[in-house]
Amino acid sequence: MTSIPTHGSARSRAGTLTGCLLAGLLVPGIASAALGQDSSTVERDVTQLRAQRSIAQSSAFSVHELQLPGGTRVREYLTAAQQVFAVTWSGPSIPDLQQLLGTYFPRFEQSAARATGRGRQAIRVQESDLVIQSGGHSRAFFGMAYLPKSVPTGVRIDQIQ
Amino acid sequence: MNLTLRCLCLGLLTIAAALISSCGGGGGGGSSTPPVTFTCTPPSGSNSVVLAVDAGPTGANGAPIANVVNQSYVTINVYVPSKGSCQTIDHVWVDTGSVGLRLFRSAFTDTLPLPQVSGNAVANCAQFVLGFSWGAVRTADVKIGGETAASVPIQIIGDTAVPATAPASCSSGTGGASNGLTTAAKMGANGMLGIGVFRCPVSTTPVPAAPVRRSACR
Repeated sequence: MTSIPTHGSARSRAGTLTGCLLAGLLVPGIASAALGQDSSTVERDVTQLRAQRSIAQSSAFSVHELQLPGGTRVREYLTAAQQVFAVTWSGPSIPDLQQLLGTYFPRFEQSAARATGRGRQAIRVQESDLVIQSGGHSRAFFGMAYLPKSVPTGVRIDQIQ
Repeated sequence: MNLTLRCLCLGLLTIAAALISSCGGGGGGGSSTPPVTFTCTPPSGSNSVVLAVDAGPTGANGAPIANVVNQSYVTINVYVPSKGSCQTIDHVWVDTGSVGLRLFRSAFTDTLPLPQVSGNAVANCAQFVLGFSWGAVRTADVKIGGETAASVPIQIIGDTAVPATAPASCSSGTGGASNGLTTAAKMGANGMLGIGVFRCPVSTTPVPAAPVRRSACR
């Protein structure tokens, strides 16, 4: 289940060797992120995260699943109007949430700044227009972020996994 | 709360003995609560070490640098080749969720004479749910209790051999660059010893290969 695509691994190694350069490139503004945006930003996430994507369609929404080189799985949930209303992640590392949360990232950062649980406290944002939950432990992280006001009618939150 | 030093006597380490004010004693808190007495018999053996629960590392004035509660620490020794001796580093956080030894540059009283892993500096970024640790990887002989692990890779946080800023791809998911475990005060420890007792608790499928979060810096 967690095998890594061959070409993804090769690119991962290249990325490792130029890690410092990549760090310089991944600055805010260069790459728009997905939450609250349209499907074109999912394309950018696939590129930026060097992911392999598969798409599943249901009546109320579509799910773009991104398999990252390190084994982490990201799912982006899009409305029929192609707006990303939820993002989830699960795996051995936490994905680049600056990339995935975009304009909502500062609120995640502010919530983290208020927490005092050095290393192990879950980060939560629980507001009328934004919910973020991030938890787990080393090598087994998970989390979700969604926009309550954008969730399609009839979709239950437990359908976002 | 009365942060009376308690000791969970898992062992007795001569060098760490100064860390513990007493073994077998202890105090309770409020005026109406009778004192609680802890009684423990330290196990013997080279593979045991004192586990201390106290207010964390102290600064130059003797006061704790962070208000830490319910955190367990050990004292370890790192061999410093240029001195030909070990340096003792106290208040290393024992973490059951991670793997490896991470120490702050600030905990070393001398230059860092530990050899690099390879010719180029190698940096490592470890993610936690809240906060990350970023620093250079070096090799060292590490002594815990009475046993020594020779030439193991360790992380030095704040090591100027690598860029000061962690990649956003690592830091952002843990709360952002400003919320990293970048100082001993922020971590509430002089380092972290991950003893890795966790496996994936909810899945019977094999644990995925560890994500590569190392960067070679030229």
